[in-house]
Amino acid sequence: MKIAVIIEYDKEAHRLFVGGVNAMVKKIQPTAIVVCGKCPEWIAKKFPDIQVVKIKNHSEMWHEREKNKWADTED
Amino acid sequence: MGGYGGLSGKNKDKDGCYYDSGNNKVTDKNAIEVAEYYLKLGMYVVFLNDKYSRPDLLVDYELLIEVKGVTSPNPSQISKQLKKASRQIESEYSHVPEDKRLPAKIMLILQQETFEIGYHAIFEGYKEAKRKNQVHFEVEFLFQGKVYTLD
Repeated sequence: MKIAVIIEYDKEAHRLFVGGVNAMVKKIQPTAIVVCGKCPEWIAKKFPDIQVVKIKNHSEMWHEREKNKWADTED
Repeated sequence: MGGYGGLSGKNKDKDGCYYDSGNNKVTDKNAIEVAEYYLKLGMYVVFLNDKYSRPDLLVDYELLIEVKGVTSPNPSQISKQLKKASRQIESEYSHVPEDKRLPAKIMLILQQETFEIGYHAIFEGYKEAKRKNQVHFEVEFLFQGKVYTLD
């Protein structure tokens, strides 16, 4: 398994990330890829035999906590 | 002073920019548009250093792409662009043995407002270039995020 972190706002980093994932899959042939944060759609499409496991990043967990807090407050 | 997030450092560009194989900033918007199309599909793209008049992109280490933007719906102009693109790819091939040459194609970017006007011009320009034996590679065009092939 490998963990990948995506740097969304940087184009060059994203380009290198795409190359890195392709090289990693070719070399290691993982059974699963664990992605922390926003998962690119192409990973599941390009590698259908590899399981993609998504982990929420800090920002997503914070937003979810806030959303649940407000939902509880409204009740 | 830096703060969490990283954007408060020296690189103030919101999205950053691409770098080519010679570590120069890529300024060709057409090449960037095509590259982003392939990156969305999960294909690794290298911007080739254009100092020596080469094709613009290398995709997944197995396909060369020369990109041209179509600004005028004039078939003669398009035919000339196809001829020039074909020559650029052939110049890249000139120092590579025949059995080691990567496949290549020409990608046109349609900048017309409507698909019909642009497609008609491209098709006529392509036919003219084919008739004059000026284009020797597969030709495709990109319009609003989709790629269309010319046969």
